[in-house]
Amino acid sequence: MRTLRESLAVVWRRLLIMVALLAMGSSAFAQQAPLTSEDGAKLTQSDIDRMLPPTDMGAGRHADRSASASSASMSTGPATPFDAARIPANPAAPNAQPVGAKTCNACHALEDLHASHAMHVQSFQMGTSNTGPQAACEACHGPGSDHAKNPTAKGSIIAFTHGSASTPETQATVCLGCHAGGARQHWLGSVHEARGLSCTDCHNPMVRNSAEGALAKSSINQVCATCHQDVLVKFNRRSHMPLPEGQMACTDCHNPHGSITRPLLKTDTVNETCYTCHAEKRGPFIFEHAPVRENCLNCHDPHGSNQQTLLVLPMPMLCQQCHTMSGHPNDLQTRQSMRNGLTPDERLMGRSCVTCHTNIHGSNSPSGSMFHQ
Amino acid sequence: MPKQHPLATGLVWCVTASAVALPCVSSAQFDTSDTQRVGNTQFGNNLDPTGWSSFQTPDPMGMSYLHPDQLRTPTGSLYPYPSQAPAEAPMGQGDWTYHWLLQFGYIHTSGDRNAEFFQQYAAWKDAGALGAFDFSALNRKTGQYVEFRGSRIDEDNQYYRLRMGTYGSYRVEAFFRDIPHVLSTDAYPLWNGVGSTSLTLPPGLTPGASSQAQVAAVEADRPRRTLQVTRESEGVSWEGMLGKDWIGYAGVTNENRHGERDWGGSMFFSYYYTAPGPGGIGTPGIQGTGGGQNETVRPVDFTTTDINIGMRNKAGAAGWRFNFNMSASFFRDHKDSLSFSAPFSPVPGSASVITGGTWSLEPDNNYYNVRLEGSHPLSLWRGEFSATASYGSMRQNDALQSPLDPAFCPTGQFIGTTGIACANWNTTAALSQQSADARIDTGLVNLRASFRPLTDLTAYVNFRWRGENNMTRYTMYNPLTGQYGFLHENGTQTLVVGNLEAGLFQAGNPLYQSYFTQFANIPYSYNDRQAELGGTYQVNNHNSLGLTYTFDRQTPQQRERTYLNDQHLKLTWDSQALGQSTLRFSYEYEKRTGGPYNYFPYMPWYSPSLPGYVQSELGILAYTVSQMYKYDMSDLEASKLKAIITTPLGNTATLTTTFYGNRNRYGADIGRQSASTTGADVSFDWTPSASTTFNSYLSMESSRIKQGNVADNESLMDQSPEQANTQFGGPMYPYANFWTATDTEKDANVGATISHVFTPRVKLDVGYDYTYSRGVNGYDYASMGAITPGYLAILTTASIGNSFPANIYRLQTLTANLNLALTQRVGLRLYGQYGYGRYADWHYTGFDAPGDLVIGNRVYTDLGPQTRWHAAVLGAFVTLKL
Repeated sequence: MRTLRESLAVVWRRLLIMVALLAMGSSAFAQQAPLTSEDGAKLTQSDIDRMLPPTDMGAGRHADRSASASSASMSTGPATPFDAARIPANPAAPNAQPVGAKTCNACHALEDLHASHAMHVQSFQMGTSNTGPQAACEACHGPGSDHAKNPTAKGSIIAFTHGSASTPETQATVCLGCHAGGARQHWLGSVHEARGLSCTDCHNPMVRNSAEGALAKSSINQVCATCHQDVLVKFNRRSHMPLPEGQMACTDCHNPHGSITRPLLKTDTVNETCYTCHAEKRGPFIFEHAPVRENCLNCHDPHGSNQQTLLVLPMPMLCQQCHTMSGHPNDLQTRQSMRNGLTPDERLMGRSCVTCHTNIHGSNSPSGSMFHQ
Repeated sequence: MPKQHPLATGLVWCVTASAVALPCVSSAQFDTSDTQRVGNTQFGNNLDPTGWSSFQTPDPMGMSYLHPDQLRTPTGSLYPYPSQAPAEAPMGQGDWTYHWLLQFGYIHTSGDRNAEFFQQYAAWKDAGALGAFDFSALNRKTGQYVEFRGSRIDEDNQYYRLRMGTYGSYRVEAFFRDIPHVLSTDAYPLWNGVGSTSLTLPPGLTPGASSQAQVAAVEADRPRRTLQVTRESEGVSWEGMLGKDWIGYAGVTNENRHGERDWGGSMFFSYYYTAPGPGGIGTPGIQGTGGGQNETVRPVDFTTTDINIGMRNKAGAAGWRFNFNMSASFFRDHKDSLSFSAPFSPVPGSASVITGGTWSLEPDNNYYNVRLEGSHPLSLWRGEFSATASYGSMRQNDALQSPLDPAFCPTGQFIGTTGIACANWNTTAALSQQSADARIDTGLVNLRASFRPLTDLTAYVNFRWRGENNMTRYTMYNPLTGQYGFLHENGTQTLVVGNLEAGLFQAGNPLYQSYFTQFANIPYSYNDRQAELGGTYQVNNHNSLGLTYTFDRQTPQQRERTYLNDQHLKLTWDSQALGQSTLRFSYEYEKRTGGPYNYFPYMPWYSPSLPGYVQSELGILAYTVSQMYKYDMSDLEASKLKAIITTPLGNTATLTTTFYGNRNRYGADIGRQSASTTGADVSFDWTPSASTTFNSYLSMESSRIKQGNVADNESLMDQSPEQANTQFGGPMYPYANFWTATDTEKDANVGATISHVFTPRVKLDVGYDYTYSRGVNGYDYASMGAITPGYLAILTTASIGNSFPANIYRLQTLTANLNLALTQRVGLRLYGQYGYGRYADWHYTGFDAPGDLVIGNRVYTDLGPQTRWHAAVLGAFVTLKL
């Protein structure tokens, strides 16, 4: 089967090259000579311009990188602001020149087909009815002339896949060229940036395989599990938030693009994140429970637990880690305190400690300093 | 505080902002920032967790004519094959095209359909369902678009989300959703009025005077109920260009949460009244008739309205990239109190004057936050400086309840023989203030400078300060009596124990002048200053090393330590030198120390700090053992390691292996001693062709938490000056009473999914997941002195053993989807899910039938989740599409 597929691919490639060459017209054929110039000198921009078909990128205009992208679109009518998006420089091919999407599509027709149904290229293509230069392939992949000359040369174009000669920094710079600020405000120095992840480890803007977010997989949770499978499986435990059921995503609490907290929380602290859905716990209460106000994680594991209500330990052991006070808290509870034991005990059965200390997250009762009321 | 609904205000804000902004739509690229805001980033359900499965038929053509297989992510994982683009049609004569898909059918459940874990977040019902409704339209000339997605399993589990806008200019989003959370399907509440703020006893029972036999008889006939909370939320938001490089955003969400859940009800200890049985030691004890625990049911009736508005700059203002955000959240509890009638008298052998209890449920609260972020490139070493500052305030000022409820301690009555008049405590005139006036303010400043001095070297320095200021002050002072303190457990402690344990302090009154009691709230506050220095060095093309040092100084207020110094050293190694594999390795060492540990820093809020306190000749009873360290305040030495290896296998498969573990030692004998986790995961993804995808995973983890504790010598209480000795090993906390408990858990997860397109008309997806968790809670003890003294005449070392029965959670789920294309526009979807579960939790061991819910003076509601269940869901859907 593989052999057949490979053979088909070879046939396709040859067929496409023929189609591309036909599309270029006879003048292109006539200008093939410089490619095999006898002196072996480096091709000039004019050489390339003669060789390649007419472009829709305004080849050469990208050199004016200080020009306002927006002013171009403003002057050409109601096209989207992506018109005239700047072409990023490719450090590995500093002399490459833009060739235009038509040239790219000569070989990458199928990629173009899929990308045309994805948000990025859709949004780029919106302005095609206008006269201004429009963003297209090279708005992300950089100028393509070197790649067109030698398609297999690594680094001749900015690539976003495994084994790419483009560094993660180069790749991210491309994406941040448009996606600066906002959720990416703290990308620089974030753990994902520092560990060498590229945007395309999580996103695939060339296809639409997810409901939103141009994700590399079909959901946010699947994307995160690519590296964090150990976290995702915790959501299979007895008590969990509804991620496996598709009603929440990792990004409900975390910002994978960076934040000012180590676990990439969207708010400044764990508790502020929890309060966004559990606003009733926010209070403030006249009687606070110190570890509750300090950090919800003192008692709960938000990724899943084998105890009730995401607790990190079963009660009463959870509470007895701190509550060694005289009287009832510091007695050893044994199996005989169970309902069918010799000494059934309210400190252990059912909801254990919170059967009495029910308002454990804080109380607003004037008699609630021990959270009974 | 009036319960004014802030939604209207929020909508006005949002609409106004939109009205101002939309005409300003102009240039530059606009992009959305969903991951900047908390919540509602995922819309799916049990029928389709991705919310996109209807469009996930891979294109047999693949991604490229140039290569047959899929490319990989930079790390090395395979990209899935692209999905086939849905058929589109022009809309009218303009530039719009559209497509839609409608899937509707019927869901049928069978087996143990009421099993709690089967229903947990599904709330399955036998009913018609909307599998999916998707509509999308796009104007290819202007970039305007409309997208709608929706699905409905039933009225408690549904979502609808609309997005519309213009690419690069603005986006408006609106949604409505219901998320169910089934908390118990085996609840038998004794009380009438479940869901209301008043729980009353059914006919045949007398508050404060019912016998255990009477209650048991009534309880056995109570109907089974499901306790469930449903989150119904809706929201609208806008994000768009405000001008060159400026993007604005605004949104309002409103959530109504309603339902019921297990609650409590304390009427003094019952275990005190356990007596040896007739068979003597080693045989069941006799449950007494004192005290009382009532597992009641509370209402949940919340409304939370969140408003978020802001604007950001994409680097236009003198090179600064700004983000300015204001948010507000308004929580309203429409049932902010609960009362219950108690069936039993807490006093053995006599009817009780205290016949019930009350709670203050969560008060209404408001939260405000303003935040400014900015970053600017630095000319030095290609650097960037960024700063974040935020200020927040949480406030509530609900009216306070009276200390006791007049319904359960009526005017004219006295609490037992104490002489304490109900009339002095069942009125808000007994309060020192009438409303809470509670407030906590927070502030944050984060400064960061990042540099790239060399091509291969990056470095950064980060400073962070965050502080909380708890301004809540409440004194438990009764102006009617001149007494400080509070009556515990709805007054029942006073009723049972008498004046000496009434919970009150009063200078000059011999009855109360020596009582040790809390008389004011403790305003805990936390401050944190953190400095971090880090960097990465690209050793060569394939290896990168990183090092980070963090110093974190916390200065909690009103806690056991005045400061904590937490230091972290983290080493990372990222490599692509292992063939085609990518390795990400990290190791982190942490050491926490701090100031002297004060085992009881709360004395300023206890009666010995009040004038007129007279210390008893026996001294103050030891509050706790002085060698106890709370684990958030104790020393800590920790290490954490993680390695992720992503290995491409050929052109069609990927193997991802993860190893991780952590070790934490808290340096405490009393309190949490240690915690550790060790685990490994293996994932194998194989995509031999566009028509076949196979994913599988295996995950194993073990964890262990150990703690120590010491039972006090209760025989010294109120009998000997030695009761004041707080030393571990002393007469009050002797070594002989020391005990330890260890929680050991093992988790295993295995799963696989396979998706295959048999023909262009037939697609099958099958998934299997297996979860197995086993937790054992073991214990060890120096002597029988560790257990409750009253049990010494009942229990033996043999009967105690050294562990609880294992807690088990085992779940197997098989899910299948078969999609048949009958015609180009009409299809059939068959959905099936089979679940088999097993569960054991010693909290609920012995709770097998409603008759088991009454034990002595204790009444429980919940039998706990089903111990063994199997259930199936079958769904048949017709799919129509353009």
